[in-house]
Parts: sequence; structure tokens; C-alpha cells
Amino acid sequence: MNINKEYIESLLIKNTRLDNRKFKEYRKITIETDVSPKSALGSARVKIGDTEVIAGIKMDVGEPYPDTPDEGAMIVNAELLPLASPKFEGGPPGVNAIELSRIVDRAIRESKAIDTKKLCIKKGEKVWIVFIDIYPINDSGNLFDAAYLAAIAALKNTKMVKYDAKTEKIVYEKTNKSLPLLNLPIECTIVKINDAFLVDPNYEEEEAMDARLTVAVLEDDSICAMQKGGDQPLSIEEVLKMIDLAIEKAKDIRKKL
Amino acid sequence: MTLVVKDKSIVVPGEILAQGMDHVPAQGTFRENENIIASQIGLVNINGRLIKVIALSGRYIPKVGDMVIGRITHISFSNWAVDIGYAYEANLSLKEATSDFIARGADLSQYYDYGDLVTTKVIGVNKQKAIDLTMKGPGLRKLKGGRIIQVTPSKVPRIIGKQGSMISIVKEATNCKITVGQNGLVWIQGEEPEKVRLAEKAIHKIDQEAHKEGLTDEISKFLKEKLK
Amino acid sequence: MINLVMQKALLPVLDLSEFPNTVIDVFVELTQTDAGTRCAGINAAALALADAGLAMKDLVSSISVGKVGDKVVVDLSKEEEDFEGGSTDIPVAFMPRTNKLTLLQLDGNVKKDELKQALEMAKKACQTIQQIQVKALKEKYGESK
Repeated sequence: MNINKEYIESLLIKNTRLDNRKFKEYRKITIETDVSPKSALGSARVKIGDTEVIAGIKMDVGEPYPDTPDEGAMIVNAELLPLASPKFEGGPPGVNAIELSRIVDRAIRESKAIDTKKLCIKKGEKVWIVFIDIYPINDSGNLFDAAYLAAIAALKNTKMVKYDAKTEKIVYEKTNKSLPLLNLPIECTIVKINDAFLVDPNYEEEEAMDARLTVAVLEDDSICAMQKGGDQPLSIEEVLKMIDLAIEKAKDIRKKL
Repeated sequence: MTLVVKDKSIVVPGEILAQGMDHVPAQGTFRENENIIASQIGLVNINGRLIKVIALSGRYIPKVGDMVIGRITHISFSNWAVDIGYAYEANLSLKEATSDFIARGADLSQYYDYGDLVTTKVIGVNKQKAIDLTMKGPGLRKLKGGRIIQVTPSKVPRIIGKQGSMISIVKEATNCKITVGQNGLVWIQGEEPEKVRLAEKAIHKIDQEAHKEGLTDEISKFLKEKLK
Repeated sequence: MINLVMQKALLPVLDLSEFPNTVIDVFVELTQTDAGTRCAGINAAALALADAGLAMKDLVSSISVGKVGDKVVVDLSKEEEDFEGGSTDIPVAFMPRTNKLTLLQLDGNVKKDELKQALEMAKKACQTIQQIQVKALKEKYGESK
């Protein structure tokens, strides 16, 4: 609604947001793990304000990609459940669901969060494949960050199952062995409305935004993934400013894991 | 003969409210042989022999005479389509939109454009769910500036209060202009963001606690506390 | 198929004449499954429809009953559904006030007497489930005392 966009803009001039947050302030973040112990090998539920996402991890054995014969593989799947927002419809994933999967995928893949070399069973023939399933339960803005945190928390929570090379079957009993993880990138989403940069946009801020940048930051402050969204363009200085914000916030969020 | 539930208690669909033929089922209830049964989740309201259930949840259902806040969704040659939060779109005809003379082929978006929010009144609802609106009347206008929030439509009478008593308390305490549509959309305009936020919070509080007694005093207290 | 039987289980309590020419979409998400999924789904959907403020003649309460080995039981677990000694799964749903069935399926092998016993057990179980559903709704809508 245009009235609310104008209202948001008038608040920004007064240096405040709809819910009285500062431009750099995230809503309350809660992380619960092991929420689906019977059906997933690892799982987590993350809430950022009223936005809620559940992620689950499953593993299977399959052939490696031909260009990485000694490395495991990873597949991220996000479904925008109609439950989560009046905007989402049932059916095959649309572009927004795909964008969500791709953004989470890119950060985890490029950062080598999963140590895929340790997921090799038999070079060129059999490797572990990790399936990351993401289900938004409520979209109140900033699904990207919530989905990403849920995926990472679920990965940390995952206990592997065993592969019996003789019978060539997976033994579906959870071991004590955790999934081998190398790095923990954190994803931060920042939106631009007029001249203001706001982290963690809520539902109305997302509707009103000009542009959005999601940045994945590693522990050493290097950037391993980025995606721009929104209809308006960004200048290089603006991008650099948003990246600085992301680096600053990533430090705080990483402590919550 | 017998009332099974107390006045003002919360009931759910399927719950038996009264037995025997002494009472008459009204809104939110139905008769099944000897029993009067609730058909919606809500508050029991007993008025003499009439039993009704005031719904605590549910989408807006338009009635003639309701003032609502609507959004223009479509412009045609001689009318606008307006979203008033019902399962069906409402219609604003040329005749009811303005007292101006509008020439044939004129640009209707000069009056009301896509996405515009308006305070409008329901003047007709028929069985086929066609809804007619008018912009002719005191206070009916296109909304400019301000903020829109959403509340549960069935709580609107409580939010407005008897002759506007409840909403006046909020208006005075926060120095805001507030218009409450029967369809659950509320328009708030104020100079200071903290006061607008406070008005929002107070209105949401009334929505949540509508069934409680002594709410008017509680809201006054709440506002006083926050304004210290 | 599950969505068809779930829809048929819920339809009898709804009065759709208030909304001609419309569709009511019910989305059910099963975050973790362990047998009895359509029953859990129906219980949740009935609550959601009431929560949405739709006019309903009654709630709908659902449970699966059946025979595991030679015992008639209520609420079969996954292991019981897969029991090698023979298992019959009978998902049912009742409109609790009138005790009329809106869902009835059967998979397996039972005698008529066993079926009768199972249905009586289901009826009782659904009464219990309905009380839990009512409690959940009343708690949400502020009966906090």
C-alpha cells in the first residue's frame, strides 16, 4: 500500500523505523535445534521477529559430479508454503522459491561450509549427498536470513548415518558422528529505501524497498556470496556501504549459533 | 428450557448453547431439533430470548451502512472496483463517486487511481454478493498520508466504543487522527512517530482483549503509563 | 488421494452458501510424520477452519484405529502399521456432537465384530480429541482464567 511506503519514508527522515528499531538493529533471533528428530538427521527452527523457518537435513548415497569425483554433494530445496504468506500459492516452486534456495545454496557451497572431501565413500563411484530442505512457516520479512540460519543450525545439529559397503545400503541409525563442517558463513540482508540502509527488513519494509542486498560473510570477514534483489539499481558506494553493514552484523549473529 | 452456557462465555462451533424451545437462535447460532448450537467461535450474547454468538474471528462481511476503508483495484469506463477485504470485490459507480459532472471518456484515475485508499460507505449488498459503495457523504474521502493497520473486523465495535468513547480516548492521548473502518482497516495520522506507534499498540491491545471487562479503564491506564 | 478424503471429511460441517463462487483453500503441512497423518491433518484443519471464523455445524475429530496381530487398538504407530504379523489400518473422523462419520477407510482384514469394536473405540477416542481441540481454541481466544 502506497500510504505505508510514504509513512515508512517519513519515519526514516526522523531516523526511526515502524517498530522503533534502529537502522542497524535486527529483530529478536531465536534458534531451536532438533525439532524434527524422527524424520530428519538434523533440523532447526529459526525465528527472526515473527518470521519463522524450519530446515531439515537428510542424507543419501549417490554418484559424485564428474568434475569432483572425490567430493560429496549438496542440494538445497526451499518451498514457499502457502501457510507462510497470502502471497504464496501451492504448486511447483516459482522464481521466489528458487531465489531463496539459490541464495542459501550459494553461501553454503562457496564458503565450503560442508567439508565435502570428507563425504567421499569411494572415489568416482559413491559419495554422500546432503539434502537441505527449507520450509518457511511465516513470512514477516527477511526470509533469506532466517532460512539461511535455519539451514546452518540444522547442519550443525546433523548426526550422520552409516553406509554399509558390503550390502551397498544405508543403515538408518543415527551415529554420534557430526556432519563435517569447515566454515560458518553468516548471511545478512540489507534493504535500501531512499537514502537509508536498513538491516533485517520486516514485511512492510520489504514491500516498500527500492533494492536489497544479501551478503554472506565468513569468519575472517571475507565475502563468499552475494545477491542483489529489488527493482532499483545500486551504486558501487552503496554496495560497499551495505557490505560493511553486513560484516558488522554477521559478527553478532554468528555468536547466536 | 435450559441455558447450557453463561452469557459472555467463549464457545466453539458445535457447542450446545441451550436446550428446549424457549430461546430463539440468532446470528452465529442455529437450531438442531431441541438444541441451539454455536456455529462460530465467539462470545455468547443473551438478550431476553435471543441467543447469538459474536464472532471473535473471521473476515469482514459487509452490511448496508458500514463505513469501510477500501483500496482501488480496477478502473473501468464508468466505475471502479474496490477491495474492501471481503471475498468479493465492491463496486463504486460514476454516479456515486462524486457530485462533479464527469464527461464521457474522461480519465477516471484523476479521481481515484489504482492503489488509492478511500473511506467509503456500503449502500447495497445483494444475494449474489454484488456490493455497491458511495463516496458521497460526510467524511468520505481519498486518504492521504498517515498509516494503515489491520485489526479483527468483529472487534471494531469494541475498538470504536459506545458513540466513539473508546477510540476517543486513544485519539486524545496520542493526538492522532484515527478512522476505523468496519472492515478492520484503521487509518492513523499523527505528527510524532512515537505517538502513532502508541496509538497502534493501544488499538491492537483492544483487539486482543476485547472480551475483557473494564477494558476502557485499562486502556486509559495503559496510555497514561506509556506517556509518562 | 489423502487430500480428497480430508476434504470430504471436513465438508459436511461447513456451510458454504455464504460464499458462492469461491474456493476455500486449506493447506496442511506435515513437519514430521509417524503414521496417522491424515487424521492429524484433519484435526488441525478443523481447528484452522474454526480459527478462521468460518461457520461450522460442528468440529471434526479424527483418529486411526485398527487391528495389530489379533488385538484391536487405537492410534496405530508406524511400527504397528508395518507389523509383520498382520495389521489393519482404519482411519476415521467423527462430527463429535452427532457421532456421525465423515471419514472411513480400511486397509487390511477384519471381521465385522472386530470392526464394530474398533469403531466404538474410535468414537470414544474422538470425544477425547474433541475436548483437546475445544480447549486449544478457547485458550487461544482468551479464556485464560
